[in-house]
This record gives sequence, C-alpha cells and structure tokens, in this order.
Amino acid sequence: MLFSEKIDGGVSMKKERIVLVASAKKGYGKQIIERQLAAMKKESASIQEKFAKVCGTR
Amino acid sequence: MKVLFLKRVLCLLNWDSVKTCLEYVKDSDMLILFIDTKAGSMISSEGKSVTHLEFLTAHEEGKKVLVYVNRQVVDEFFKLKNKLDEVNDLYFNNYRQFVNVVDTFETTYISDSYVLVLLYDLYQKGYYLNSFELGIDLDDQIKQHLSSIMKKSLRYLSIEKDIQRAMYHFSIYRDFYENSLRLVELIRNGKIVDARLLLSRLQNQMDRIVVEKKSKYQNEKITVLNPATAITLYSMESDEMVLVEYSGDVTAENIPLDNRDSYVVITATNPEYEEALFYNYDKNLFYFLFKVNTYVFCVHYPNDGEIIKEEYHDFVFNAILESKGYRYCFFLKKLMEG
Repeated sequence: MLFSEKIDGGVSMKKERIVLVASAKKGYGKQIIERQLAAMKKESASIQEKFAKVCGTR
Repeated sequence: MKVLFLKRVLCLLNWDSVKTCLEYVKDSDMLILFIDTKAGSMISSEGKSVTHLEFLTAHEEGKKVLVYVNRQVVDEFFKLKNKLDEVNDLYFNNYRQFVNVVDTFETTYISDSYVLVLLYDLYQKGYYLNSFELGIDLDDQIKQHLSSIMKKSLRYLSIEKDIQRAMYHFSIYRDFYENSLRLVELIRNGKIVDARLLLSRLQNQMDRIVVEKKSKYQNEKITVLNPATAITLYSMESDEMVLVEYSGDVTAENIPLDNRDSYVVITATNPEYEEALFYNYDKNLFYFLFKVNTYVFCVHYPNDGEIIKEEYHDFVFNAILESKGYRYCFFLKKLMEG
C-alpha cells in the first residue's frame, strides 16, 4: 500500500492524481451566504404577500 | 370529497360505535352539523354528547365545519347568551359544573339544555351559527356555502407550491436553529471544546449535493456528491500541520509544513486560500478545505458518478459553497473568529 493511499488527510498529491480545482479568497464565502439570504428573504416576502392575498388579510 | 351529515350517522350507545363515529369524522373532509332542540345521545364518562364529541374531533383535526341551527333554537340561545357568559366566567375551568348550572336554565323551545352547551362551545370557537327553518329546503344555502368553500380552495390550490416552499424554508430555519445551537456549545472563546463531537456534528450536516450547470434558461445536472464520508481537522504549528481530530472513514496523521505536495499544507500556507477544493482523480473524491484562525478543516466528498471533467470543476466548488453544509462551515468560522 502506498503511503498516500494509507494517509487520507492530504499528504502526497504526486503519488495520487490530486489537483487543485478552485480556491476562494476571504470574503467570497460570505458573499455567497449573503446572496442566498437575500434571495431567501425576497422569496419569503413574495410568499407572504401571496398568502395575504389568498387569506384576504390585505 | 367526504362530507359527514350527522343526522345520517347512527351512533349507538356503546363505546365502539362512538369510536367508529369519530373515525368517520376524521376520515371526512367536512362536517355539516344540523342542530335542533335535542342534544342526542350523551356519553356519561365524557360528560358530552356524541354530536359534541364529533364536532370537537372535526375541530381538532382542522376539518371544515358548517353549522345549521333551527331558527327558534338559535334565537333562544342568543337570548340566553349573556347568562351563559356569566356561568362560563364563574366555571371556566370546571366544565361539569358549567353543564350542571346550564341544566337549571329554563327554556321554552329547547328541550335539552345540553344543546345550549354545544352551541356555546361552537360560538366560542368562532363557528357561525346558520339558522334554518323546519320544512324549508336547505339545498341552495348549502350549495352556496360549498361554492364559496370551493372558490377559497381554488385560491389556496393556486399557491400550493408556495406553501410547500414556505414549509421548506421553515424546515431550513428550524434545522439551522437546532444545529447551530449544537455547534455553539462546542466552541468557547474561539476554542474548540470537543473536536471529535464538533467534527461529527459538522459531518452530519454535509449532505448530498447536486451539482448543476445553471444557464439562463435551464439547469443541467452535472453530478452528485455523496454525503461527506470524513472530516479531518488540522492545526498549524511551527513546523507541521498537527492532526487535531478526525471524523468518519479516514486515516490521518501530522503533516510536515515543508511537504509541498500536501493539499492541507498548500491551503494552510497560502494566504489567498480561504476555501479550496481539490479533486482526487484516483479515488473520485473531492477535498473541500476551509480555514479558521490556525485551523484547517478538510471535508471528504465522494463523487457519485464518472470522473468529473476539468471544465466542470468550478461548478462543483460553487455547489459546495451554496450547500447547506457550507452554511454550517461559515457559521463555525464566524463563531471561532469571534
């Protein structure tokens, strides 16, 4: 068994064909989370508006 | 649609047939009550009439209930309503006493005082008491009611998907509330209290991820990542990445910092990498790494499908960052960063 097969925590990228796919700088993850949150808030507001129309509360 | 007309239901006095009546109510979509001068069979052990129990079952099950009351009965009920309010104020927490006192009321048209108890309960629960006259066909009135219910149902049907979406949102909020609390208790002053438990809880949130290529008009499925099989946690020390803990199906150990072939070392030492994704072609496995302070977390996502072409790698990275699992990673980062 190769060393790299045994150790799965990130040892040799040469012994196994491991490549860097993508990376992100500080702040990118936050942007994604905030974008998701904004989309969710927008969707939630739209659903509430539809509910209110159907229930006749507005 | 199943509608239960109480007048047509024969409720015998033994308990099983009452149970059957209540099962019928549960199985119905709507309950239409016709109330005249008598209350019907009483179940002494419950202190209520069968009709009352059926109404309560429908009410608790959220069924639509239409109530029709003989005009003279409803008139008499409203004449006695203030008196009923007074008795209710006195015995609001003693139902049997309330019934006993109402039983002493003198009525001219209602032959069974329990009718007042039933009507009072209906009224208090907000049901409209429609009146009917004996000998006059109720068909048109019922049709009108059903028509208005149908219109309302159609309006609800038009937002069926929105209701499902709202339920989905609700489940996300509920899960996040519950699981974030479980993570909070494992971090104190930016330090991990129980690393094994933390990784195990985090791993539980790393669900299956569908990777899609989103274009303007459609989403094309690229692949699916299976739930994370392992997470390792390293801490950067002076000359090596020290394995703090691991969770799941993995074997890991410390890695010297001069090992430039290690994706853990590469991620830890490159200040440009806050999050990074590596792909192991031999194992068809993705390693998603993120940094917090001196820590590096490494999540193992097996790819459920053929080897991913290079042109699709970015989609995998974005899918992970948009996944439920990453929300917990981000939360953990914020928690540990203080």
